[in-house]
Formats: sequence, C-alpha cells, structure tokens
Amino acid sequence: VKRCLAAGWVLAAACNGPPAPDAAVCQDFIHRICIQPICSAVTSNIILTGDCETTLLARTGCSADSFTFTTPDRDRFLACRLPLLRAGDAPDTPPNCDDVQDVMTTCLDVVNFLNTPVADGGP
Amino acid sequence: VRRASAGLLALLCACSLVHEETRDERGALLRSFERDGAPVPGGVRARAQAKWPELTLSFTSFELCRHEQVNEYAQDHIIEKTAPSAGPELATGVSTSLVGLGLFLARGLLSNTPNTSYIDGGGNYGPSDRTVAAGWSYTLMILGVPALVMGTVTLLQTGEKVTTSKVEEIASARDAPCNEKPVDGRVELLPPEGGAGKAFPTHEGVLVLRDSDLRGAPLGKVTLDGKPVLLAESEAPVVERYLACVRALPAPEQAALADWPQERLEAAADTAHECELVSGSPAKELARALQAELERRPTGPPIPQGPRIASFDEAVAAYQPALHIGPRGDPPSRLAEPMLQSGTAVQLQGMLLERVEANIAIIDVQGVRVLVFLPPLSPWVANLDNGSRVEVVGVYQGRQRLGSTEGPLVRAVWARPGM
Repeated sequence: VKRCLAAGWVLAAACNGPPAPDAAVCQDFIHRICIQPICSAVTSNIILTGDCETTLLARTGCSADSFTFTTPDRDRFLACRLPLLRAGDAPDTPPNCDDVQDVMTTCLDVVNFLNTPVADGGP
Repeated sequence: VRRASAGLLALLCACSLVHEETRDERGALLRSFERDGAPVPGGVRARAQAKWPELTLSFTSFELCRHEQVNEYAQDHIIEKTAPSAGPELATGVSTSLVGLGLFLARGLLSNTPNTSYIDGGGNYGPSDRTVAAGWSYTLMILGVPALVMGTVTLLQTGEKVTTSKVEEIASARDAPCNEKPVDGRVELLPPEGGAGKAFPTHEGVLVLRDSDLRGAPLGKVTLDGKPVLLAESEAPVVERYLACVRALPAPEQAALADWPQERLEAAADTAHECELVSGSPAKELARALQAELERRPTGPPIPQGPRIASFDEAVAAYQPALHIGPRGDPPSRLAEPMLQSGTAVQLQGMLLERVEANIAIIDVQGVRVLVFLPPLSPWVANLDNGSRVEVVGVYQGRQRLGSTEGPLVRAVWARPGM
C-alpha cells in the first residue's frame, strides 16, 4: 500500500502548470534573495540603496508585467535560480546563504543584471 | 518511461498467488477380481528320482506366472485452489478504481487556474487543482484496475475440482512356476565351499548320475550352463536320501564296527536308515548290522553326560558347531541344504513350541520347525518349558518326518533356556 501511495504521489507531483512569465520568475528570484535576514553574499555583491526587494525590482524593471529577459536570457536565469530552491521551493522559504554565495560566485552575469539600472542598459 | 514504471509498479502491487493442493480420496470398493499377469523369465528347476544306484535329475526351464487378486475402488482426485490474497486484492482494486474514476469524472468541478504562488525549477507555475485531481485519478485507476482484474481472475481460478476415476489395488499376488519345458545343457555339481565341480551333459533334459559320480565330492549346488538350478522342496528328501546312501555304502566290514565310537555308530545307523528309503538300496543289511552293534553295547544316554560335558559352554567347546542358526547367525535355510552332512554339529536359537513325544521337541527357528531329540535322562531337560526361548547345541541327523511334521532333526547335546 505504501508503495502504491508513493507511486501516486510521484505521478501527481510530476504534473505542473504553464510557464510563468519572465517578470514573475525575476520577481521570485529577487524575493528569495531579499528574504530577511539578507545574506552577506547579497550585501557584498549587490548595491542596495534602500529596501532590498523594492530597490532591485525598480532597478531591473521586473515589476512591470511586460518585462522579458534579454541578457542573461530566461534559461540562464532559471539555471542560476536553482540553488535558491535547495532549501525549499515555497516562495517564503529563506535560501541557505551558502547557496546564495554559490549564485553570486557562478552567475556574475545575473549579479551584473541586478546591479545595472534598467535605464543604463538593463533588459 | 513514467507510464511504463507506473504500469510495472501496478503489476507488482496487483501480483498475487494461487495455492494449489492436490489430494486423492479413496471411495467405496467397486469390485474384486482375479487376473493372471504376463509370464516373466523364471529359471531352471530339477526333479529328482532315486533308484539305487542311479539318481535321475530331470531339468526343466520355467517361467513365473503371477496370479493377482485385485480390488477396484472409486477414487476422487481433488484439486483445491485457494488464493488468500484474492479477496483483499479485489476489495482494494474496487475501492481504488472507484475513487480514481470518481476523481476523473469530478475533475471538471475543480479550478483549472495554475498555482501561481509557486514557480518550480523549470520556471513553471504549479499545477491547477484540476490537473492534480486528474493525475491522482490516473494513478488510482492504473493501480486499481489491474488489481481489480487480477483479483477477479484469481477469484475465478479458486475452487475445488473433483475427478472421479477407478483405481486398482493388488490385494495379493502369487508367483508360481509355469510353462515348464525340458531343457538341455551342461550340469555342474559344485561343492558347498565353492570351486570347480564335476560337469555332465544332459540328454533331453535328463541327467542320470551314479553313486560313483557323487562319491568323495560333497554336493553344494547344482548349475545348468552356469545358472543355478532350483530343487523343489519335495525333491530335497529324495536327493538327501540318495546322498545318505552314497555316504553309507558300500557297507563296512562287520568286524570293524566294534571299533567305531558310539557317536559314529549312531550317525551311521541313522544314515543307513535314511538310505533304506531309497528304492533298490542294499542298506537294509547294513542298518541291521549297525543296530545289532548298538544293541550289543551297554545302554545309556545317547549323548555323553560324562565329566567332559557339564555345561552348555563345555558342549560348545567340545563339539565346535559348524553352523550357528539363529537371528544373528546362519539362516535356518542352511538346515534344508541337501549337502548338509549328518553328524554336523550345529547350534540353534529358537522357541520351544511343543513336545510331540517324550523325547522329541519342536523348536521354531525363524519360521523353520526343527525336530530336536532331547535325551530324557539329561538333567537340563527339565529346565525347558514350552513357549520359552531355548538355545541348543547338538548334532544334525538329517531330515525326519514325525506325524505331520517333517523337518531337520537335531540331537541335542545340551540345551538351556533363554538366549
């Protein structure tokens, strides 16, 4: 019975919904790295002049529903987002700071995207 | 891959076993009948006819015909199939399939809006409630339908199947020689201790031996072309008496008898009496002479009771039995061998059945009835009770008939109760 229930859970979990818009993906990324307490990897790599989430949404333009990825593209952004889900995929689950450090180290293009205001050549 | 894995898992979940038990139950007796089986090769047997100085042996080959008493019964062959898991499997299959079907039919009532509160690693929203319900309905039906089918099939396979047939049981079987026909070949008379013996050819299945052919060569076994020849039980006394004549004749000088020891004289008298039964034998005069010599000597116990024999062990030491007939010794059939010489010391173990005369007892030795002469004056005779086990040291005196009982006769030197 346990095997059957486990199989059912696997099959049900394999289902998913439609692709989320680029803006929603970007907002989710920013929300996760800005969950308090903010990891030092964020403060040391990303320039924050006010509230983390507000600042970054405004700087990157992700708050607009019409936002689309250019550089880095959507696939690259999703790949860099994966370490942030290791601690849990619920939106309000704070990521491990080691995973955040991992993102900041390996995804310099994303760090650059987050540090570049949209008017200065952002997406 | 996902569907194949799910299917395999479903089969594993639905897997069940049917236990099969087979048994036979015998019913009533239908009938009893007799029948003859096909003959099987038997061997060679011989019939003996003695007319001094010739012993005529007629050889015939025979087959063994089996006569069987058969009982015929009705027998039920029962195959009982049970599946302890069939019930739970069927119940699980029904409930799971129904829940899955219900979810599938009711999925339209659920929201089709994706779960936007969550984005997975691939950048997709979470599934809608309708999609989750459909997934579960497929899962439950994939698991439930095979279980339902397997449970139903298994349940249909269970039950009891009875096949009634007739069976035969052989209640008794008797093999008897049949299809006898004369056979020719090379007859060999072999000594009891083995080795080469004298050989003679037969003519039309018949071999005529003279006393000179058997003199000085103790007869142990007869073969025809290397195959052992069976001598019918009724024929054994004929050969034995003829061999007694071979040993007794020619008669010794009358004067020499006076020098013979008492025991040799008595054994020779017995042998001569046995020889008298052979047609045409000249043993009557010899028997008369031996009897006269015995009567001339002072009467007394036939077996020495002197100082040398004072116990069973002393009797064993003095006579040194050549045969030890008993449960842990030689088989009693050794007493029926025609080549067994009168005067051979033997030791017996058996049960004293009865006293048929004042001085003759019958002892059962493993099913063979042995006549034992008990010297009436011997002090140990009073210790022997009917129905008790006894141990005897004595001298073999040939085969004798006493009333309706015929068997080997042993003259006891000492006997004691128990083993």
